[in-house]
Amino acid sequence: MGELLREIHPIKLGNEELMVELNEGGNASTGKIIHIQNKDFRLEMYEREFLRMAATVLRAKSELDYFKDKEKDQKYPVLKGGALSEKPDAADPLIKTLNAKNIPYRLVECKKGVMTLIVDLPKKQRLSKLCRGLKKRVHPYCVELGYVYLYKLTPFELYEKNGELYQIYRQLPCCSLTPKTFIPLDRMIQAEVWDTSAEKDGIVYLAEHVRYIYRLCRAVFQSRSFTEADVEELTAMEHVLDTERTKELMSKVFFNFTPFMIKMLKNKEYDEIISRYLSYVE
Amino acid sequence: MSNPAVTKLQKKRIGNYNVWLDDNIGERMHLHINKFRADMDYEMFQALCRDLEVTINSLVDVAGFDASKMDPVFMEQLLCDERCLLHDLEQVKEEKIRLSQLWVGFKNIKRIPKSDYYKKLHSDKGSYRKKGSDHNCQTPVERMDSCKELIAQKGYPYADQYIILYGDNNIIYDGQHRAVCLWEANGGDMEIPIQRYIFKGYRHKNEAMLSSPFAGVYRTWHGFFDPQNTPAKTLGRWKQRIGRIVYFPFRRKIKSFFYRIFLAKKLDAYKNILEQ
Repeated sequence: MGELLREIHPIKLGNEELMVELNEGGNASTGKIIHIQNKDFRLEMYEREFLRMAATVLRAKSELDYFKDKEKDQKYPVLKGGALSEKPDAADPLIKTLNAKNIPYRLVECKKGVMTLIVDLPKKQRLSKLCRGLKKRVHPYCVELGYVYLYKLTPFELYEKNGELYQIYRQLPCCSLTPKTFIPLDRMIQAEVWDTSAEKDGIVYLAEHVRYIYRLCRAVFQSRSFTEADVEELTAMEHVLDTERTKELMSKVFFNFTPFMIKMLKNKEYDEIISRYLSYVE
Repeated sequence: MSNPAVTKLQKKRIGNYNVWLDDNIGERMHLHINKFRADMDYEMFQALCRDLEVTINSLVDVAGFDASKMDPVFMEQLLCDERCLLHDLEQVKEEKIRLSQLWVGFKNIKRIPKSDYYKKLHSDKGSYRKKGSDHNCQTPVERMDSCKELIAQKGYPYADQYIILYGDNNIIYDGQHRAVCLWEANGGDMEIPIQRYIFKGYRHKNEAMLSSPFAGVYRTWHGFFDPQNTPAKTLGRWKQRIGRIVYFPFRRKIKSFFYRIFLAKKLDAYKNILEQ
C-alpha cells in the first residue's frame, strides 16, 4: 500500500537487497513516508526518522573505525610485578567447613590475603551462616557502587575472617568491555567448572584448563594488561592449549579470534594480544 | 552465553524505534531495530554505509551537500538530532570569511581568541568539550592534537570538509577546532572558505544576545517560541526534566552515598588486594 513517489536507492542488508522508496504521507504534518522493502519484508518510517536512522548508522561506522584505528596503535606492554598464586592452607576454616558439610566448591585462586572460591549454594544462602566468625564485607564491585551484573550473574560476595579475605562467586564471571559490567562465562564453561576438578591435599581446585581461560579473560577484559605473574602462570599451564576441549571452550569467549589468540599465546606475544584482539574485525 | 567483548557503537530512540549497533569482537556486527536484528560483517557494513550515503544525498537533493563528505559525528549530533534540520535543508552556499568575524560556542558564544577552545589549546584539561561532540573514546586533548596535525599536514579545507555556519549567522556549528587551529597558525585576518547551510523555516539565533550576559535567558525564550519546537516536543522535554528530579531510587542511592563517604578507604584497600 502507499502512494509511491519514487524509488530512491537500493540498500544491501546482508545478502538481501532492499529498496528504499519515498511514499506520500498520510497528512501534511507527518511528512512523507519511507518504505525499506523487498517482496518479503517491509519497514516503514517517516522521512525524518529515516534520515536520523541513517545518520546513526553512519556515526556508528565512524565510531567503529576510530576505535579500531586507536586500538591498532595502542600498546599494552607486560607490566612488572603482579601477585603469583600461593599454596592455600588445608586447615583454612572456610575450606574445612565446605569439606565437612559436603558443599560443592572449586578454589579459583589463592593470593596473598585473598582466596577466591566458586561455591554451588542457593543464591540466598549466606556463607557467614555456615562458618562461624566469617564476617560479610562490602564488595568493591557491589551493585550500590554502580556495577552491573548481567545475564543472571549473582553479585560477588566478600567475607573476612582473621584478616583473610574470601571472594565468593556463584558462577565463573568475566568482566565485559562495557564499563563496570560483569557477565557469566558461557554455559559450557560453567558446566565444565563442576564437571572437572583437580584435588590436592583435600582442596578441590578449578581444573587447569578452566583456570587458564579465567586468568586469560581477567587479563584481557578486566586488567587490560598482562603482568609478569600472569605471563608466568599462563606459560606454566600452556600445555592445555593443545587440547581440543580448551579450544572449544575458548571459542565460546573469543569466537572467531580463538585461533589467532592461541597462536599468539603459544608464541608468547603477550604485549600484542590485547591490541590485536580489540582491533580485530570480522 | 554472551560475548564479553561487545562495544556499543550507537544507541538511539528514533520515533517508535529503538536503534542500536554493537561491535561484537570475534563475531559479526549487529544492527538492532527494536527486536529485529541484522548481522553483518565489516564489508557488508561498509557497503550498507555507502548505500545509505547515496540514499541521503538523493533524499536531501541539495547542490553542494554530500553526506560522504560530512563529519558523521556532526551530522548525527546536530543535523539529524530530534528536530532533524537536514530534512529542511534548502541551500548550501560557499563563501569566504575572515576568522575574526566568526563566533565559537554553543551556549555562550565568543570570538575565537576569547573562547575556551582557544584558551585550552595547549592545556591538558579538556573541560570545554561539548558532550557527544567527539568520538566515544576520544579525549578532548586527543581531538585537538589530531586536528592540529591534520591542519599542519593537509591544510584547510581537506577532503572538501568545510567549516559550517547556519543561515546568515557567523556562529560555527561544525569546525570549531579547525578554526581555533587556523587562528593559532595564521592569525585572525586569514580569509577561509566556509559553507552556509540555509534551512527552511529555521529561526536564527541573535549573535549579540548569545554573546551577552543574558544568553541563558535568551536561549530559554528562543527555545520556547521556536516554531520548530512543537508543543509535543516541548512537553516531552519538560516531562524528561521533571522525571529526572522526581525519580529518585532512594535505597540504592543512599547506600551508594554512604559507601562512598564512609567506606571509601576500606573499599580501595579491598580493591587493591583483589586486583593484585
